[in-house]
Amino acid sequence: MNAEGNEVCEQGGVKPENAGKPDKKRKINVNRTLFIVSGLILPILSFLVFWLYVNFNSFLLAFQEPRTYEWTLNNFAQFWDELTREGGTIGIALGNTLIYFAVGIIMLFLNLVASYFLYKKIFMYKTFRIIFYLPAIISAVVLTTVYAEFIKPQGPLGAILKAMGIPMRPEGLLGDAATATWTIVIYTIWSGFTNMILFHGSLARIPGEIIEAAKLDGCGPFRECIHIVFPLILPMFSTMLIFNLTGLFTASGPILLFTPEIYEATAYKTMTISYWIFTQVYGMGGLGGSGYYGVVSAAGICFTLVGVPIILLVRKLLDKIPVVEY
Amino acid sequence: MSNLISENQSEKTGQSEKASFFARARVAVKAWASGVRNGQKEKLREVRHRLKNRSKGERVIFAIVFLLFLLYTVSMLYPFIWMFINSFKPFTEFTLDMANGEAFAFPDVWRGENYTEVFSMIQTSDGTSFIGMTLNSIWQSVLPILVSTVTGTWFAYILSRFRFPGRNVIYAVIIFTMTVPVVGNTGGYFKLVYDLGLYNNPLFSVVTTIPFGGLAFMVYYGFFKNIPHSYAEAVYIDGGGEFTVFFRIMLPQAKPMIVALAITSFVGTWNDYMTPLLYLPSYSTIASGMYLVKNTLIRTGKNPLYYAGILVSMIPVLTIFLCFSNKMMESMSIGGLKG
Repeated sequence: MNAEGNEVCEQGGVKPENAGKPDKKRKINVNRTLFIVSGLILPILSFLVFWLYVNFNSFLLAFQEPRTYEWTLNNFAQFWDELTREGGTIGIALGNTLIYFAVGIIMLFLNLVASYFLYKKIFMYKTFRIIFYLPAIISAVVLTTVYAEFIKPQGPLGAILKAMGIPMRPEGLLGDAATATWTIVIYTIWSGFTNMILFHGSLARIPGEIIEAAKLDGCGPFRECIHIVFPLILPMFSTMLIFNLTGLFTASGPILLFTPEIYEATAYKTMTISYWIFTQVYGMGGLGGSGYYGVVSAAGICFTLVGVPIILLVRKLLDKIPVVEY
Repeated sequence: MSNLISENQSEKTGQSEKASFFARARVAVKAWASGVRNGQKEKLREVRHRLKNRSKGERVIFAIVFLLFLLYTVSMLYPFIWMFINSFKPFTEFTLDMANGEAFAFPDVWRGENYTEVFSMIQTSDGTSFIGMTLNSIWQSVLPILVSTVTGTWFAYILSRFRFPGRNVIYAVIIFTMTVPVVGNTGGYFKLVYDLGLYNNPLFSVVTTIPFGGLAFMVYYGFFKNIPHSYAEAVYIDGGGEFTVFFRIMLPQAKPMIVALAITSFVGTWNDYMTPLLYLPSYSTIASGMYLVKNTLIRTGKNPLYYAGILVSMIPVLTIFLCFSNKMMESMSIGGLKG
């Protein structure tokens, strides 16, 4: 952005030809400055407006009355009450969110196991690879519809269970407050093998000689898996783990897409934090939003303050594990 | 005699020439066939080799896992087949079948009109037709990709290539925004979008999609860092500037990666129902539109029509996936490189 920066290129140290001629040099410098400034301006503006301003503003919103914008701590009090009260919405939402989060972590391991068998070229592995990846291609709107229609009491699952002598309740699995969340959790498991492709990518990069050498030394498949394969893809795994951790308080199933099947009276039982935020910001007041952003922002600050140290800690722990380059 | 012999010889050679032609053809065919057979044999041998290499215990585990995978495949494909079959039922037949618990019944009458009616009868409450939704899907996926690719690659290139005051700060901020998950700022975001006049405005797809950081940034950044800058020297000698270097030399170099990332992000935006639902309600896409019409169609017993619509809506993305599945898988592993 100024003369100093224009001189030095980080790599190759390319100095423009004819650097000695001041006129040409200046022309090149102007050109370079123009190039850098015009490339930086939009992303930085985007950051300032849509990240910094938004977060700063929602920080302020947390301390303001929704309508009058007077300074207050009521939002935090309300948040705390909803969190700790028996049957409070945020409390239920937090519980469900943690369920989705835990399932997400478990799925990470299951993805790893599945990709291991694909890597070991299980029969028809090429077909399976595509099948596992399909949920990432097919829209969630389609996939949830397929799932919801299939498990309806009148649908195929209902017919099968009826034939087995276990008739389903008329309100269906999603209509029953006791089973609704778990039904959605099973959906996320069913559609959650898409990360397998990432692991498959890094498994495929493991040099075959290493495996061969281990085999010659009498290394069995189990030890090969634990002592060779897993350490080699640990960087990938820890990246995914951290990525999952950033979703600690936002983990959720596609609850909105299941809402027609979830009865309104029991809907709050399937609440997650991100869905709660959605209903607060957009849902209540129609598409114009409710305008009640105060409690949402207060909750956001609290969850962020809890989440960030956890992530930093896990990062630090994972960084301690030596990374093998190959 | 000599004549005879020579005749005989010539006859023989003629024969042998003929024979050699056939023989050669036969040999060629044989070679081709054996090549094919060898290829198959090779494959079989490989499979057998794999099997042989596995101990007994391993083979049992692999068989069990194979069965599980097969079960998963059935669970993934069968609901779609069921939906396909039911998409041909007349509405009343479908309702009756469901009421009588005959969910697996085949249609008595195959009603193909369900598929033509997708284009005439599926409509959101504000009158966006199926075709309209498709068009909205197209511009809402293509615009962000164009904007984010140009600004994103440019930004990554500058940060990876030049040192200037503030560069390290920008880089640190990018890493910071990528690691710190901010919860609950949607209220502020929504308010800002509304105040800027971007709500329900197609410009939303342009303005809000300029990336600052993100996974794509990391991929581009790493890529440009590893391109030798000597490529650019010819441009400098010809009197070209940085714009020429970037747009004529560097961007084309990154093309395979850009294509891979673009396809992945295309699938993502094509399937995104949240954004159009919240910020562009008058511009329903296939994803958000099909969600909006779901309630009315299913409540009025028009499930077969809805199933037909859903299946038709999958065609574009599935086509792209089948054409580019290898590229997409590659891009996934690019993204995974060393995290």
